[in-house]
Amino acid sequence: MALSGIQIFKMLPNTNCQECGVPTCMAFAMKLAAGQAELDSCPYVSDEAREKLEEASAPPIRPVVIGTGDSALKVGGETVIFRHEKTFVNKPGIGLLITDTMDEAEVDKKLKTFKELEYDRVGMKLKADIVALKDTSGDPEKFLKLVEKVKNMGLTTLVLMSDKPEVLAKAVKAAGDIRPLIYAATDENVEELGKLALENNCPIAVRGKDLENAAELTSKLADMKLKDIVIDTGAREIRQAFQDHIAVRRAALVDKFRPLGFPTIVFPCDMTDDPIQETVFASTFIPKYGGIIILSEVDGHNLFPLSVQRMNIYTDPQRPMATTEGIYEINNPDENSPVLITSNFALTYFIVSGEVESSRVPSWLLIKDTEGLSVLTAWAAGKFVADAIAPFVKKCGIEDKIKHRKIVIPGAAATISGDLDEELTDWEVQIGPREGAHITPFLKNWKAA
Amino acid sequence: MPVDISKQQYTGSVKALTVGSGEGALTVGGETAFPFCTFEGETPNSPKIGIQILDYAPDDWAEACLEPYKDVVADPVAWAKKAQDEYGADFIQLWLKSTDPNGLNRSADEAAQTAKAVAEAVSVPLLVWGTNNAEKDAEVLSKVAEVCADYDIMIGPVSEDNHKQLGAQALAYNLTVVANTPIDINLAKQLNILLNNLGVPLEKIIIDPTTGGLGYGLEYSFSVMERIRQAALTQDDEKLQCPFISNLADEVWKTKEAKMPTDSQMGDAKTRGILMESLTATTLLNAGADLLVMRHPEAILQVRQYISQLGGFEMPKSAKKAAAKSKRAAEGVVPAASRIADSLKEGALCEVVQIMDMPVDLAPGHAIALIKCVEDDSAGDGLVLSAGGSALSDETVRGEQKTEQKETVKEEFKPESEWTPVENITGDYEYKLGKSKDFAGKTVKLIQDNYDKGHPEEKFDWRGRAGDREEMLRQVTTSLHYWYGEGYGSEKRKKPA
Repeated sequence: MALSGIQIFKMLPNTNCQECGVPTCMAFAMKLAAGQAELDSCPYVSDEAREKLEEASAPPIRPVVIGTGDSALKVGGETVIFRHEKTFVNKPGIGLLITDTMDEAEVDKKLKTFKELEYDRVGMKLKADIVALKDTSGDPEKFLKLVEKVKNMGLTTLVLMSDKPEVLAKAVKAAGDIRPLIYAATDENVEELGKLALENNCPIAVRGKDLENAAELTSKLADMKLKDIVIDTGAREIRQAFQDHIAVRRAALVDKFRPLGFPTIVFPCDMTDDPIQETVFASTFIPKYGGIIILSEVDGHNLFPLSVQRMNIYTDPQRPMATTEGIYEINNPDENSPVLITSNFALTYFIVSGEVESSRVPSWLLIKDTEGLSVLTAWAAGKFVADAIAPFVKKCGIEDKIKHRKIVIPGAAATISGDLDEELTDWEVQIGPREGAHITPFLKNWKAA
Repeated sequence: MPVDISKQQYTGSVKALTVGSGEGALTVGGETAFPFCTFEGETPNSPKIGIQILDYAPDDWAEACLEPYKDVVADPVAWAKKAQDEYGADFIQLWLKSTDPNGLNRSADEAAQTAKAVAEAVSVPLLVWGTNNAEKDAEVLSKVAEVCADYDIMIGPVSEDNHKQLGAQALAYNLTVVANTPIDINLAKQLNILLNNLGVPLEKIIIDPTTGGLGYGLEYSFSVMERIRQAALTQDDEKLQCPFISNLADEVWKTKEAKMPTDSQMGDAKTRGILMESLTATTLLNAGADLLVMRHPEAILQVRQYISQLGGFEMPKSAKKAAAKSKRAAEGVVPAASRIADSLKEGALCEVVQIMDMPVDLAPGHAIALIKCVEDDSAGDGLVLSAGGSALSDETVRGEQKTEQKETVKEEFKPESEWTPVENITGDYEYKLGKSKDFAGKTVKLIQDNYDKGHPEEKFDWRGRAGDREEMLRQVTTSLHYWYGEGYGSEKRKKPA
């Protein structure tokens, strides 16, 4: 339903006032069509035109926010089918399922683990995002108690799941002002739950019998002026769920089919009883278009691999991952420990630091900011060359930490050794191995004097 | 509401490639659609999984992935056979890591002999892998090609720097080559063209776009594979229409995170490692991987089940067996062989010589134990059949000591009332225990309840099937056949107990 530049142009005032910063209305229309300008830049556009244009220029997959504040989860808003076309933007939420019939001690243990697990990787925090609370007892009291409990633990990004609208109404009220995701509108209760979501300004999920039914439900909700919608296509079997996700993404992006232009919620926890298989299934929906992924178990052994996979796939391919410039101490180095230098490309850093660590040789690792380029690329781009490295080595403070003056450069950058010798007059430049795997023998043979 | 979703338009297909012959032959490729998009195109061959073995015992492997192989790591032939027979490898990747000039630097001749021995021992295809040192690989793999001329092997990595020499060898011996380039679609295409210009047909080339493990560049491999596959399928770029191989095992297991011990943040070390390997594999499968090189048997099993369920492929028979076994193990239903050992130790009247699970298709969930009576010196070996699931059993068969051909002692087979399972009100089965038994005039206190409580995984009444004594003995003989047979397990099993 995207409009062409000409179609947009017809709706603009055509005064060529230039207040939007573009010479003509026609040029502005072209920019709008290409997604390079915001309609708000035009002060004179009519309300009627604005509504039409906004509808047409709305993102093909609606970004939906669940929860509030820092811990809020934003999903959807994707614009591509393949990450190399541009990038994936909003990481799928990893969720933990808790039911109100679970043993209390089990619930406590699961939630405690959920809260405590967090990984730091290249300056990013990897965590599970959302707790799904499910009413399986049919007892509203029990469910409300669970909601209270979880909220009191400071976990405020929630999915509230029940088959009964009246239970959900009470739970939403009990949850208060935290914008939980209401799950789920079906043929039977779509009006009632739609109203509930509208009154409480909450996002709402639909659970379709299939893709078509899901589209019907989202259309009904959209008619009620609801915007923050999440789709469960109803599939509880990996193959169907995978195919549905492909279909939803294509429908939204290729066909611009609005009723499927929403993020999804998917339940690997319902697809198998084997917790390992569950995580394996869940991993499908990270590259293949999941919005919220609900698991029955979140523990170190599955959250770590899954959240790292997610970080990998959602890295912007246009911008290499980089780590911070500076001195890294590995294995408690002292004044006689070797000094190595390399680029700040995250992969280079991971591999070199990992190898140095496993060599058990105490070492100083200098990371030079190369704007995330690898050693060879950075050298070619003039960012890992003698006159860039020398000032960094002198200023970073490594000279106060060591007695010797020897620096090991990557074997791949051997060509800079001559220049670096000239720049770092009191240093001895040594050429290290080309391959990470050869760092250990190199370091073991290294001597300060 | 009718939902009419555009189908992806495909104009090309991946070339199908077959290596090996007979039962172990391997065919991959041939797909005309993106991975697992079976609703809009053909995927005639499921992705295949190879197991990586080394030509020397590794000293730096994570405990979790060394464990399944620790009895065979010193012998590449035994290792390859275990990978093929027990873990159902579709192919074997023999990594000649000992030839690394920066490592052990073994000679090409030595490596080629190892390769030949392995090729001879297995029926599945062999992929002989170098050390990514273009010069040394050219020397080693050329020699391998020559020595293994009788076997239809694959060699790799073939890089731009050694493609002339290795391409020529491939042509001479009609080999399949793995063309390795550093995560770049243009370089991948260029190397395929170079090889093709030498005369290597595209049908004999596998693309290795270089694999990054989870957290170590996985996304680069993922995207370059998606781009190559797009070019192959939607732009009909012939030079890129070769199947992919993802050499992921070492990329996962060499990382710090795979080797870290169990702790509260990183979770259980073994499960974490298995999931890191499995997730690397699923990510690459979703980018189009046709061949995966993996290590841990449990990760392999997970990925097989994944491929089968997502792509609607039939599980290979070997994998089905392994799956059933692992499922029972997970549920604690298997008469864990050690439990038999424990219960026999308690009896103290006999000594366990060896215990093995009964072959699955013979009697699922059952185990047999070879015992020696200790109370009476004159007693020979006994064979205990432990009937898991269906009933307690202590049928024993005696044979001559230290002979392979066991002779059964003639005695009456009398079904005992204790063997009958009783069903209690909850529907769970309980088994009455036979505390002791007379057999052949000797007092041998035999197996106790060697089964964990709960539902049997499936009802299998082998005793019921073995209606009379003759059949009963046939069951036992078959077990013995498996015990000493060529087909089951490693070399060790062939030795008399």
